[in-house]
Amino acid sequence: MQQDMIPPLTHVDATSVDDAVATLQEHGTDAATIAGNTDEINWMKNRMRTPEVLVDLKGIDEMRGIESTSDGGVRIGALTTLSNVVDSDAVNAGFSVIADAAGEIATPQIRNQGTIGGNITQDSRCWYYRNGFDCYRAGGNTCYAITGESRDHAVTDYSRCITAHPSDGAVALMALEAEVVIEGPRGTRREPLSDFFVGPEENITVMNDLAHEEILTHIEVPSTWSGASFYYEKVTDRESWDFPIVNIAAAIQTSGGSVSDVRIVSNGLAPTPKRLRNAESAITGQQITESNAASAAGTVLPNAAPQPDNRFKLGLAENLTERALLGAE
Amino acid sequence: MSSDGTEADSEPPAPEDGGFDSPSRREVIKGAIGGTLIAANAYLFQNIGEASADTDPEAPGVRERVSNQLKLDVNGRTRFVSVEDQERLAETLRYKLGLTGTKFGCDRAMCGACTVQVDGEPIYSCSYFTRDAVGQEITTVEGLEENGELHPLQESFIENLGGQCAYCTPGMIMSGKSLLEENSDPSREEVKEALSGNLCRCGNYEREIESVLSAAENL
Repeated sequence: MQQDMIPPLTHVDATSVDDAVATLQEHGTDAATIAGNTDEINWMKNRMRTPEVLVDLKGIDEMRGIESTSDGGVRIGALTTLSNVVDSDAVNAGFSVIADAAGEIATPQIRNQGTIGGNITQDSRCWYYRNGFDCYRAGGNTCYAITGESRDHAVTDYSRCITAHPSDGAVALMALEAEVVIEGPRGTRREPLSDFFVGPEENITVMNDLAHEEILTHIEVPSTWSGASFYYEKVTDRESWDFPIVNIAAAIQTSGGSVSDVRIVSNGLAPTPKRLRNAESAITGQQITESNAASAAGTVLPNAAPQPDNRFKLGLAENLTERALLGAE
Repeated sequence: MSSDGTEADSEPPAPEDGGFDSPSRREVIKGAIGGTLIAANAYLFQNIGEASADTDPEAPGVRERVSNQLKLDVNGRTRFVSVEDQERLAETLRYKLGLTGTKFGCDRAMCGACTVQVDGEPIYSCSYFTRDAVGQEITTVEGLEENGELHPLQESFIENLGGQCAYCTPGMIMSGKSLLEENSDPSREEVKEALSGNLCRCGNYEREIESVLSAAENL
């Protein structure tokens, strides 16, 4: 039952990052970048995107693999498949929350093909946007989710577009203060993941600040949170596999029985991965007891403005925060 | 159609596959397959036509397109195939190599009917460019039998009624095979996780899980 053949295109295997950047510059918006190619290919099947040139990054060896850095952190090549992240000794040694999150992404087949770079740079899952509606994100002048089905959409920090960020890998990496390394026509730049993601008030058509000719090459996790207590949980509609309704990653450091430092990041609540700062500051300096966790979790989303059909996410976020604080190990 | 012998002379002979009115079910299926092949071929030739009509001297011409042969290792055999840049492994396997055990289901990397192994790892062949498989071992469900003997997983799916309508079965078997190669004694939970990327519209999951578990015992 063949559905949509992909229109003819030219597939270019990039040999190096510089080569890929040069090819992208040469072809401009006629070109698209692919790596694991679990998402872009489906846009092409739907004829929603019709690139003439595909710049394939898979052959760039320098962007693949995981290594421990000299300062005790870990450096993950953006092309590393999610399966390899799950199995990585370097990741599991001090940063197991990344493997926990990666292990819950999609299906075994997609984890074998999809990359960690693709997971954090993935596009919105809003079904209106993905199905050809001329919404704000697609360059139009309305949000269909606000008047329509918004069960999976954001409850806070949105602006006109209410898409929620869907990445599982991003919350774990952001909880560990990971940085991304990006190469482009003007050389290499790096920035914390928290600055990498872009909300609709800043630019409504993108999810992150990666320019068209730029390539995310590496993700660097500092040693800061190595060996801390971690928690990861993903809530989905179906038990087998799905995008998160809400997910949460927490990293907690304790000294003398009380919390010395904590980072809690959640997706499915806002257009970018959402740090739950209120809960973080409420529990810092406290002992983690049931009553302290419950009171810290009571204030997670102070500025939430949910739609009628996703109000349930507020309670979900509170419960998940409480469970993350009590369950981290 | 009447089965009364007295009227049989005036009736067309009963179709071989058991009493359906003509056109027989078999003919309809043959027609559908033929139609699909014609559609697929028309599509491929249309590309060549477009390429030859292209006047840009830098664009790939007919010769390059037609001679775009890849060497694939499919089920232990070396196969040379002309492959378009945008062609996906499931298309090549089904329409060029005739390996129709691999199914198109959703065609969106969600249902798993197209699951094959590339270098021993299960992937969705509907969303995997054929050219990415060059130099790697491709294993499809047709590659499982050896010397006329079915693979224990295939036997087990028959034995345990793992296939109901059986459209998802080739994909289920490939996912199960990938699991058993890494873990010869999986728990029920591990089997569920390994099959999580394969949907079964019949909802026959219990028997599919049972099939993999009992194959693990027999391996």
